[in-house]
This record gives sequence, C-alpha cells and structure tokens, in this order.
Amino acid sequence: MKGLLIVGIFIIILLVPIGIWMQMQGKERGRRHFETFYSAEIDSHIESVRIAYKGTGMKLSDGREFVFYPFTDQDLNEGNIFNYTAEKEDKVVKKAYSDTLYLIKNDKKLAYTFKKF
Amino acid sequence: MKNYAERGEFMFESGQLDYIIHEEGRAAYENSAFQYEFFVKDHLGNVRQVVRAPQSNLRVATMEPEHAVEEEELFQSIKESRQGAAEHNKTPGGYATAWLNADRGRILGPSRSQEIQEGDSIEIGVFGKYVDPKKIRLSPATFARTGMDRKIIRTLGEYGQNLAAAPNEFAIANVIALVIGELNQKPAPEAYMAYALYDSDSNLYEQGKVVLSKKARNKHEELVQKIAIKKDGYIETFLVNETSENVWFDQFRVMSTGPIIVQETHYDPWGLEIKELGFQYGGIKVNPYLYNSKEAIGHLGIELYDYGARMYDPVIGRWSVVDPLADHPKQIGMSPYSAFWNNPIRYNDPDGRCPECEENVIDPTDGQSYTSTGGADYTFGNGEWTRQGGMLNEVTVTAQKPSLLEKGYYRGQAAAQDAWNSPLARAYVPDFVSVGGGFTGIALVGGGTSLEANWVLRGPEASLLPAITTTQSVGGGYSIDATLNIGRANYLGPVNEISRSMLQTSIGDGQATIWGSGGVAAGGKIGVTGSYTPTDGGYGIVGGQLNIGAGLPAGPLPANAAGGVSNTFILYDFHKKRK
Repeated sequence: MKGLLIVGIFIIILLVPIGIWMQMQGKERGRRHFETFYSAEIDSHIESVRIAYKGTGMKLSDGREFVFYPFTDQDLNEGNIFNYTAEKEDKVVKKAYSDTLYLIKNDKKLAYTFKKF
Repeated sequence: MKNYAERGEFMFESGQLDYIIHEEGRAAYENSAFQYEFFVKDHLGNVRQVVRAPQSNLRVATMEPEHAVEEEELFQSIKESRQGAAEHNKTPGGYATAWLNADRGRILGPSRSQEIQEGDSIEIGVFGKYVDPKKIRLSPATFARTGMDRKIIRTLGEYGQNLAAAPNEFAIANVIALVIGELNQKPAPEAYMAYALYDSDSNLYEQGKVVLSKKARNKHEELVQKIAIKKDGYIETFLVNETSENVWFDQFRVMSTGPIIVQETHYDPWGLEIKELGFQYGGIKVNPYLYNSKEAIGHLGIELYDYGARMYDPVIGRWSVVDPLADHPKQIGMSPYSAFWNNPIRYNDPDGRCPECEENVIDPTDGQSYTSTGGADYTFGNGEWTRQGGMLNEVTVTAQKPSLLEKGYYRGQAAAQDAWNSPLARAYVPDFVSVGGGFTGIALVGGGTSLEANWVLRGPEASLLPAITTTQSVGGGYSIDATLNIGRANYLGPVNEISRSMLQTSIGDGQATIWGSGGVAAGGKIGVTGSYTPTDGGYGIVGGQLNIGAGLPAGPLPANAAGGVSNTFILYDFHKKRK
C-alpha cells in the first residue's frame, strides 16, 4: 500500500511537465484559431454554437467553423453572453480583420469584440 | 477656341455631341460611334478606373493584287516583294505571296510602322515556307543504290594508304552515318519576322524576331509573336530573308488591341490627383468625372471640380466661395470655406453645400431610416438621427456633466472595481469558487466523479447565480474516499478575459485538467487537491480544493495520494436562464 502512495506522488510530479507542454500547445492552437477567425469575412447564419476550448465554437451555415473568445459587455451587447445568446439561424457579420463581430438576432444587433492573440 | 455646353446628360463640345453621362459611366462619342465606359468608384464616389470594351485593329497583307491599293497604304514593300506563286500561297482563293531571296535583291519583305499606346497588346503573325531541293530521304540504302558507298570506300582506301591501318567496314559505316546526319541537319534559311519598339522620342527600347524553323520546309509554318506595350511610341514590324534560298511569306498580319482599363486615377485624401500612379490610354476622350464623381474643369486650364453650387480646389482642399448653407445648424460652427466637414475620408459633398444636411423624413419613428444624398444610411432613435454607413465605424460620444453625487458614485465604483480586481484581492478572494461532493476509487489506477455548484466572481460574466458542473477524473496512486469539496480557482490572465465558458474543460477539444491530491485518511478523511487547467490564451487556471469526508487509509499508513487528469462539463447555468 505504501508503494501505491509513492506511485501517486510520482504521478503528481510527472504531471507538471505535461501541464507545461499542454499549455504551450494550447497557446499555439489559440493563435491559429484567432488568425483564422480574425482574417475571415463573415456574412452568414449560425448553424450551431458550443463551448469550445473554453471559448466559443461557432459553426456557420456556409460550412465554416470558428473558435474565438467573445467579450461580454454592457454597452456593446447588453451583457448578453455570446454562447448563451446566439442560436441557430441568427445572422453573424464581420469584416475581414475587423475587431467586431455583429450578431443580428431578430431586430437586435449585438456587437462583440473578442480576445486577440 | 472650343466652347462647351450641356443639355441635361448630353455634353457638347463646339456644338458637337461629346458624350452622354449617366450613373454608371458615360457613352463617349468617338469616330461616329459610341464607346461605352463604366466607372469603377470607391465608397465616396471617387472614380478610380474607367473600363471599356477593348478595341482591336487588324491589318493583313494578303499580297493579292486586288487588295493592292489598300495594302500598299498600310504596308511598305508590298509591290517589291509580290510574286505569283499559287503553290506557296496561303490566302484562300488567292495566288500571290511575298517572295524573298537575298541573292535576288529581296532581303526585306512587307513591313509596317504604326503608333502604339501604353497598355496596348500587339500580335504579329505570318505564314512562311521554304523549299528544300534535297527531297530524297537519305539512308545507308540510298548510298548503296547510288554507288556512293563504293566511292567513299575507295576514297577512304586511298586516304588510308597514308595511315597506319587501312579503313575497315565499321569505320566506313560510321563515316556514312555521319555524312547522312550532316545532310539531314541542314538548317532552315535565316528568314524571320521581326519587330522593334520605339518610344515617343524614337529611342529603340525593345526588339525581337521569330525565325523560320525546319517546320517550314516544304509546308507553311505560322510565326506568331505577342507583345505587351509599356510605352507610348511606335512599332516597326517586317519580314526578312538573309539567305540565297527562296522563302515565301503570306498573310502577314499586325493586330493591335487596346486595354480594358483605359483610365486609372489616384488621389490624395483631398482629391488632388497623383498623376505618377495613374494611367491614361491615349487617343481617346479623357473622362473628366473624377473626385466624388464630379467634373474636373481641366479643359479651362484650371484644376477645379464643379460641384454645382460651388467650385472646389483640390490643391488647397477648400471651396473658392462661401457656403450657401453656412448657417445650417449642422454647419454653424464650421468655416464656410472648409470642405467635407474637414473629413474627406468619410464624407463627400453631393452639391457643394453640405455633406449631409437634410433630414427629409417628417415625424420619424424609432428605427426608421433614410439614405442621405451623401450616400450614408441614417437611423432614427432616441429622438435623433444616427449615421450607420461609411467605411469607418462611428464612435458616438455623448458628453454629459455629472452631478457631484454622480461623480462621487462613479469614482467610488471605479475605485471599488479596481480594488476588487487587484492581485491582492484575487489572492484572497478567488475568481471561481465551488461547493460540491464526489467520490474517488483509485487503487493503483482508477477514477472518480463529482458534482459541483460554481460561482464566477470576477469579469464581465460574474454572477451570484451558479453553474452546475460535473467532473470525471482518472488517475493513479491510492485514494478511496467520498468527500465534500470546497474549491477555489484563479485565472492567471486579466480579469476581463474571465468567462463562464472557462468552467468547462473538454477532452474532446484536447483539453484536460491535471490534478494531484493527498490527505489524511483513517475512516474519516481530510485532504487537499491541487489542479492546473491550461487554456488557449497562454494563461492557465490554478485551483485548489479542501476535501472532507470519509476515506480509507493506505494500509497502516493513515494517508492517501493520487494524481491524474479530469474533464468538467457544465450541466446547467442559472445565469443563462436569467438572460
């Protein structure tokens, strides 16, 4: 049984470099996702929205899929969390290299800025 | 002296129709025909390019006598090189060709000189042919039939008497093969179609030629050359045979095609033309509608734009006279000479009085919109019109002087927010807290599950309403327990990036939380769990839990320890329901 405790402690020590490696991978992945999203010209409808990579994964009706990190803001989007607000058929518009994504929901137009990497 | 007049959209120069202007471009009247032009404009209506259907001119020297008068005007040396030779003719129904032979004083054949413009593309072409008198196909058998082999053997035998060894049959066969090869590789005559390009100062800047190849032996070969013209000037094209062999050329053609874009204009922000970057195709009527699609009065010797109410001078970026609408409420604070509200990137001016002054909707309702003459969309709301269009996003700033009480409130709120988000406060009060329960069964390897209520205490999505999450973990070591868990976690990045989505960690996205736990267990248990969750932003989330409950000891040692990875999913977020 003492051996099992040592195994546990060994695993904990082993997980430290794994965590560092995962963090480095995540940073690179985030940069890739951002570049794809930032450069994209979007004028489409939402097919689905989910929590992805601790941010937002958005699939569009034109087949494209983006991962980004929208900011909730009282002035820009009335404090509506994108993940909880955006629904299928809602329209999203963004110019290439624009720092703002517009979510058009019925008659409401919500603006979302997003995290830059 | 020329005079100019307009009748609506019809423009006249010295009494003759010059062009008809319309929204998309104009129809220029040139050489008794209309040339239709399309204007490519930017967001302010500045004409950037003028596009036309390209015009092509084809000149052909058929060499036929019935076309002699016309072709001798278009080409030189037609008469001097013409020869009736139906077997070498390429013109359908014709019989004449250009016959060239340097020994007979016919080096230079038909030639043409013509003006060219930058942007033109020229294609020259001709059919050429020569007759090879040695039509016999050479082979060793040919040599045997004609007795040439015996002659060569005899000659080489006589020559071999002076050598150390007499010629053998292999050596003779090799020599015959060499002779055949040499005869068969007889080159085509040095005859070609050539061109030379000169600029407007008659300086030669490019030349080239297409030489007749062996494909022209006894049948016509088409020589073609395409040339892109980079400078105004002229081109010389001609046919040459430098040899004493007979060469026949026919259907010499020169086709010039004008460009699709006949005018390209660049401006500085105030409309001054940057001519070095622009382009104007020559020989056509220049389009004067440029900046803001207004007519440049260049033909009067002054660089002014006619906006209707006033003339605009792009050199100084000002109007030449006072604004007739200077007392309009939207312009009351501006200089009556300033143009485009001092922002030519955003505004144009439809008629020289005001970029966007009119609000021509009576009794507007909220959400109603109209398009101004300046081309921008306005929407009515909260008792005023707001501009929607334009290339640049508008930032509306409303100035408001707060009362002393309000000022104090705002300052207090900002100070409290700063204090709450300070590193010290975050160290004591975490960004996330959780309360829940779960059990773990790890003996060497194993797993566990838990259910927690989580509160996000910082960031724009902070709320007192919790999100319910479930966590599944796998690991190794020894930890068999069922505990109540009280946890805390901090995001290592800035506060404004904290979101409720951070509560979820999905292995499906390649993410996982790594954790390690240890504690005292002897029936009851008290222990701690530490965790780290990498995020894609470069910062991770560091967490810790206090675990209190029941747990089995690791044998005689009243302790346990384990480590592993876990996933967390949001089951339900009460904050979402509120929204």
